[in-house]
Amino acid sequence: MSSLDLAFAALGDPTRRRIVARLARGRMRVTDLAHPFDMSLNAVSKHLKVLERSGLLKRERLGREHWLQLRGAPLREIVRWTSQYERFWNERLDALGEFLSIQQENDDGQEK
Amino acid sequence: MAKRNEKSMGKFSTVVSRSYDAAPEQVFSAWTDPASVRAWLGMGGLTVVDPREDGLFYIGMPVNDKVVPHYGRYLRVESPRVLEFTWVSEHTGGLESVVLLEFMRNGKQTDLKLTHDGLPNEDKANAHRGGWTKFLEDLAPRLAKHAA
Repeated sequence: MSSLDLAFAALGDPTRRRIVARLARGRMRVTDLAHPFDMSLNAVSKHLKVLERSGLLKRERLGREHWLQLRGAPLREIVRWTSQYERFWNERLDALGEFLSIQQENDDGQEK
Repeated sequence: MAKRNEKSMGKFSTVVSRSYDAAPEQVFSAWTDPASVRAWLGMGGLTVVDPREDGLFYIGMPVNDKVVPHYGRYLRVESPRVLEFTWVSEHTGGLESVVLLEFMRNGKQTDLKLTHDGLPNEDKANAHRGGWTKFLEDLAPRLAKHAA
């Protein structure tokens, strides 16, 4: 699977999206992150593993604490993928602007 | 009455805006006059347009020695304020998406707002497109901040 496939698959679950949303505020200890979720630490850990495999999440060990942090690269890739139509229309609308200005010049030329 | 084919539409949308130094009528007709459409949207490729409700258009865009077909039907043709049409291409997975154009006079300029609605997700993403749009919307400014 490509990294984009993995990222989309990882985010195709509401719990994992909530985890990502919480981590968007900053790095966090696993225990603090798991606290508001109505599920066992074990269940949360499984979700964290999926996110880690997709590259969305980085885990760091400091002594006995596990700290979690988001990684921006896969998220940016998702945003880039979903914005491909925006890029297409931006280019076409620029072309329309050029077309209109050429048309304007031609009209001005005819009036003289 | 021309209708959106909601069943075949995806959940993704995108909005792009521009201002042009031209009257709304001029900008509108650049979208509906066959020669104009061919010149800037069709990039010179084969272009057929029949801009009336339920009329069809076809644009064969030349991209890297290949023709990429784009086609659809007109839903609303209300010169010079609103033009709405469906949009099908390989990038919509062959399904109808919808492009809505709103032309607003702004002094000597025209503000154009383009809303492309009903874009599908692809492959695996199709299985769970649920909260993504909102999710990505919330995320985009955050990422932009990080990039800056």
